[in-house]
Amino acid sequence: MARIVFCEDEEQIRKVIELSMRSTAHTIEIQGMAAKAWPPSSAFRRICHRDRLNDAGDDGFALADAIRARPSFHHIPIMFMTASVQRGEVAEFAAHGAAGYLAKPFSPADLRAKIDALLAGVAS
Amino acid sequence: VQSVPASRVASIGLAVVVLSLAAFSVFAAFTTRTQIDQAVRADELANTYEAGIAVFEEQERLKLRFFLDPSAESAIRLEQAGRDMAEAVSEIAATGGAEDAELAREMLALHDDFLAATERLLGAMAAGDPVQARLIDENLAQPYFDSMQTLLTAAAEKRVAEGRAALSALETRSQWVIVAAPLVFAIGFVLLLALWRILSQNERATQKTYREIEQLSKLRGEFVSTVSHEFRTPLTGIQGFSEMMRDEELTVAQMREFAGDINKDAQRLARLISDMLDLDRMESGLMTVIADPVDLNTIVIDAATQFRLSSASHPIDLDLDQGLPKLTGDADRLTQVVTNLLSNAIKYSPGGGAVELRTRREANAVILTVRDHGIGIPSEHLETIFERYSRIESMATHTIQGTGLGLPIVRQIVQLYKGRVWATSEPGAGSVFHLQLPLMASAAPAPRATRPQHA
Repeated sequence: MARIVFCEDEEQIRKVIELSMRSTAHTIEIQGMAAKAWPPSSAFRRICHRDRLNDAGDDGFALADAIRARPSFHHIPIMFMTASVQRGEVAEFAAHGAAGYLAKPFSPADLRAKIDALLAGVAS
Repeated sequence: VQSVPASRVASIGLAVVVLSLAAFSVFAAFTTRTQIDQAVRADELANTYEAGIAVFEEQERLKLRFFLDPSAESAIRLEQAGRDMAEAVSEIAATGGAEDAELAREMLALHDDFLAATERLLGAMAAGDPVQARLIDENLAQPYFDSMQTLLTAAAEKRVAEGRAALSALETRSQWVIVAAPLVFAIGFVLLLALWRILSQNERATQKTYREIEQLSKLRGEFVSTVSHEFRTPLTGIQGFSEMMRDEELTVAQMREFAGDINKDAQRLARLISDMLDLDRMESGLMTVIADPVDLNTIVIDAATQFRLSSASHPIDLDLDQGLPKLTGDADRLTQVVTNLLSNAIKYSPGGGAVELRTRREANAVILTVRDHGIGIPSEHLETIFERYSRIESMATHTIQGTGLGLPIVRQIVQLYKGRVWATSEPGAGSVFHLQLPLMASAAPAPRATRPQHA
């Protein structure tokens, strides 16, 4: 069982994630990039306060960079859920410290399988 | 693309000019060198002949001296002078051509007889018989001598004349080269400059074309990325909700909820496809033109009502000219224009803030302004935002979804009805979009027949 934090701006996709993950034993937190919407306990909020990420200008790459910049978060695997899957765009994911990516559109089963594979990779 | 043939012509021209200049230089150098050689040879030959004449004159002088002083020394000198004549004639043969060699052979044949006569003359003098010696001279030696001298003098005159002619020709050639060479090289230089300029211009045009192609390629890549994103995002909802409906035990309420979600994403996809097709039709001049009376205020009010329901954080204020006359146009298209502008005003004001719509009459036109208090537009993008697939890449716009089709559609529709649209902005403080539509103007006719609308 793991704690998984999802960051997604599209409301419909947030709902798909929430419904897809409810059958798993993981603890999940789903937020958009808008910092003001995050609950005070959010790990995102703590990262963003420290790194001064704002609510309008920063994206998943900035967030990944901020996570990778904190030594205490080095063990956390990052996976991008993305609709940008052109060759150059995919290359950027690894450059920002991602362990993998999940291309949109994806099914609930795809999402669960990808997360299981990611966690298995971390565990091994 | 049109400059490619010019480049080819210029390159060929450049090669021709360079080759012509090289050929001219080689030709001028070769012919001048040849002429110099000819003049030198002619001069040498003339000098050889003149030397021969001098030897003959010396022989004649020594013979007269011998008759006055018939000493052994005079006799030796006279004999030597005879041999010198043969050498002079041989020198002419060696220096000159075939004609000179022929002349030399003829003279040497005479010279043999002349030498024989001279020996007899010397023998008579040695025998103390000057009378006999005189007779031999007058009847044998002198006639041979005269024959040789006549031949030699005639040939010498000819060769001297030829030498002078060669020198004259060389002088003429030199003058011609002195005048022509700078002229030819000046013309060649001007041609080279002109051709070089054409090639440089062509190079610049080619570079510009490459840059445009690169820009198009970049735009295409951005478009593919944007459209891919815009398609994949609603497809994720459609795929996710439909699979849950298929695979999970759901209540009727959940089924209805997910069906609504799917419908929402399907509509988003339909709008995207519709926008793309609309823009294609408009840019191709295939959009159906409708010219009905249209009340712009009604369109603005309807659009504002619709957006107020979905955008609570953006108050929409209206300032409408109640005496606004009707326009001639297509209500659906003008609704699309107002909706796109209003949608942008809200979308690019992520921090909230009022959006103001104002209508007014100005001379023979109606003006609509849409003002927001959002992130604004940098001045260099105020025009490019109306280009297809153009989106401002910045940290502020990174998370704002868009296909880059909304404003191009607005401009196409407005231009179809002979109006214009433009933007003013203060980055960080908001933007104002101005729409000007002529009153009761006929819509621009479609350049080609309209094609049937797809269902």
